[in-house]
Amino acid sequence: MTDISENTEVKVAVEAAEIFVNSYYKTWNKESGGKELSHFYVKVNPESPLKPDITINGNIVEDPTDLEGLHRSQPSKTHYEVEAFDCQVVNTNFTVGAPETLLEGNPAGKKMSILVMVSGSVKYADAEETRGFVDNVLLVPNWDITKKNEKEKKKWLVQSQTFRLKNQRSFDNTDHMLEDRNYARSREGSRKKLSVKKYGPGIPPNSLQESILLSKHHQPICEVARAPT
Amino acid sequence: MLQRAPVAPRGPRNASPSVRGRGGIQKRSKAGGPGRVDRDGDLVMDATAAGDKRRSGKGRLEGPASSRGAGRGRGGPSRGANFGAVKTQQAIIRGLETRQANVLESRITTGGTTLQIDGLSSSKAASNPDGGVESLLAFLERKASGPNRNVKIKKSHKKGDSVFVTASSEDIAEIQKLDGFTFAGATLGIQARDSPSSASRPDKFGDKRKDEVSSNAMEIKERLKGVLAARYNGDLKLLNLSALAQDPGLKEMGVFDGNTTTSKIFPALMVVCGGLFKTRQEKQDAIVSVTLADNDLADVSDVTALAQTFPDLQHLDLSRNRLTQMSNFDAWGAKFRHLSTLILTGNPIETQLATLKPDIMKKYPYLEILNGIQIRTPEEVAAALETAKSPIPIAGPDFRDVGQVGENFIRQFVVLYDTDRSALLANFYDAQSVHSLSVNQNAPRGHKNSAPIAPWAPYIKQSRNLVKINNLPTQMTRLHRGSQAIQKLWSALPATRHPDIQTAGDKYLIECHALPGLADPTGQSVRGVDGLIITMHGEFEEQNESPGISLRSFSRTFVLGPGASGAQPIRVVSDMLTLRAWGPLALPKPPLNPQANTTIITTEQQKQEAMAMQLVERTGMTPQYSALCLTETGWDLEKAFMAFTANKDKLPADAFITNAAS
Repeated sequence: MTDISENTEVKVAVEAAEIFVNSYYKTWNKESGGKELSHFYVKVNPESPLKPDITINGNIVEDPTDLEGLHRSQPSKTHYEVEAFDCQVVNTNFTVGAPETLLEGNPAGKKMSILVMVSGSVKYADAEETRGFVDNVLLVPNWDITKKNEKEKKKWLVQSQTFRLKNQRSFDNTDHMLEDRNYARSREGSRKKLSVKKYGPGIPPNSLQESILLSKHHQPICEVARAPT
Repeated sequence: MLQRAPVAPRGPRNASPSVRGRGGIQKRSKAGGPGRVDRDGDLVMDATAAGDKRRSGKGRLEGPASSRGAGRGRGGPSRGANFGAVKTQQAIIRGLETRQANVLESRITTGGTTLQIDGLSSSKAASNPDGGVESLLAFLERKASGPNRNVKIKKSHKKGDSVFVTASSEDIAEIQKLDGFTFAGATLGIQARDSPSSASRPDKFGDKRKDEVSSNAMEIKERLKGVLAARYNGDLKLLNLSALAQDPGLKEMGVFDGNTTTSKIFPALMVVCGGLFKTRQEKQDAIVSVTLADNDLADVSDVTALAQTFPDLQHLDLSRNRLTQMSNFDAWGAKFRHLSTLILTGNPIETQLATLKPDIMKKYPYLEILNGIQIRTPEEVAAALETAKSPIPIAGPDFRDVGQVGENFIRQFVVLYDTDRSALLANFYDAQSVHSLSVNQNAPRGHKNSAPIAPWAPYIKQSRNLVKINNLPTQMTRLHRGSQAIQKLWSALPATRHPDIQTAGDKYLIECHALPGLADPTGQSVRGVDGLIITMHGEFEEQNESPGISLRSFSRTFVLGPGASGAQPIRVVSDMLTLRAWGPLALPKPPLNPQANTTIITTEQQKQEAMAMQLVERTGMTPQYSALCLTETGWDLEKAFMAFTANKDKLPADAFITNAAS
């Protein structure tokens, strides 16, 4: 095992983690970020023993390019915010998927695998409440870096990710509206005795009622309105 | 007239002015702290209502199941019977017949109530050129205003040593709470001056005016109530506000004289109407549909108040108005998000806006029916609601354990961390194990969860939150390497009690999967060995000096790997802890127990294959020998490994993969 000074180890790892957290969540926040997300991950390559392993809210994401779909399903003003993160070096000489020429340790810490744990919050525009998340990623060296493209390419790629939304949105409008509608539906059968419609002075039945008659879904009104005819 | 005790209207019809403002509109109880405002800014009117709200699950800290079950009781016999049409109808009629003078009065009349404020003359401000009146008024307005309310003093005059201020009854109620406050060194005495029961009445004229205003308002209120009652259909839960300009009752009142339009009477109607309900739920139950047909509306700004009064409206009819473009709806902003039916028939917008349907669909994401045509199926709406909750669906834990290594570790960890940290270190940590903790003090805590947070002091000095810790020496000292260093840290951390993983599995969410490329502690494999990454989310009780606030939420990530030969079979490579204020976990519905065997490995065969591969990795034996070894040890990876270690010298050469990493 090649010795890396503890100093170098921490410095390189923190830098790698910082670069990751500062750019990755911004990409999720960006309207056009969907396509860029897969660039953060190791590629799916049947030849390589290095494979991405991604779990988002318990859902296994087979291919990082699938994240584009998830990104699309987010409301447009989604905002992820990193509130805390920490990182540790897991292996100072990570070699999975490394070319034969790169098996030796690197004293500058370029071949480490780094575990990053992020605690943050996300506000999906549709949801009124900010929710917490915890994200764990393992950063590994990007073996594709050659001297030529070193500047454009990311030095570290995500091999493993476990993302979880944290706190429950205990009760909000969206929830109770869904429930109320279901409630309305469930009561359909229970209202048998119906009285005749009454209208305000001189106001004819209006198109709202007609329209509700067309609808099958809003039973309390539907039932009542249909009865006299 | 219905006069049921629990919901009886407050205050007699001719409530004295001093009692006004203590009725429906009062925002804050004298004893209570800040006013309770629900998430839409609706005021929680009184203690009973607040109780209702809380029971309905808003903001309770209880688990999702109970909070759902408790208050709403949809479909349940109790609520169904209590809050059926009969009850709501009664509620509205009762309300219409009996009360709400206060609310209306303060809005549609210019009057308010008056307070006498004493103490200014003995304050330091008395030496100001104006005798300190201006600064006193500014003080009162500032102190009485809350985050959701700007208190405004309408009139003031100084008489003798007293200052008399006039404001709306709601504002007066707020200002009155400042009685006894210290202003510029003097204690303020604040009392209502226009109460009939009040002994001294220095301002005869004001009182007289009050009475006039009061009777005026009462009359208007009575008439509006009549109008509303005639226009409410309890069976349909419909409030018919169509063709208001032709309403005989309103006409008689003369509100449409000259240029006065809907815009003037509408807010008053809404105030009267909104005041009839104690809770948003009651309102929601009573009025599901509103029609505003035939009101000559060119813009909804004239009826903005509808959105405030009925944010949960399901059906809305705007037929035969003069709406021409989407911007005509701007006054409602993002309100009526849960509108299910919208009718715009007979508006120019129907023909003038080619993109009407997509535009409306975008604005009202859960709308099902537009102009009588179904634009979304109920299933689509349900899906949209679901998506809004969590764009990325929340699934059960992804617990892909390998040979139950993760499960066994977690079971032991949870117990030992609470009871015997030294044993935990001895069993799983070695000189290379790394541990650090970080504190997220900003973590969101869930809706209305404002329970106090135990002090962070025991952790903050060790927090390696890299958002804050930017200097390398600190980053290094807060990284604890080796069981000794970790022991030193843990012995300084508060004692904890984690929920029992067996009986309180729903307090945890644990996920894991294999992680490649760990350093091989035996140094044999150049490409490293496979390990396991486990993430555990949960909570623990902490022993601290703040009784009653002991819960914390945490997430903890472990990287486990095979131990060096002769040492523990499983070692912790990495242990990262992050702490935050307690908040409930987002569990999928129904909550899955991460310990359920089904979630761990799908089939027995897969499990055995995975285990065999683990043993291959660790021992260099062929898959066949590994499987054999595992069969003999009852498919227990650790036992198998121990059996291997004990017997490896006796094994034939063909038991090993020929060019095993060396």
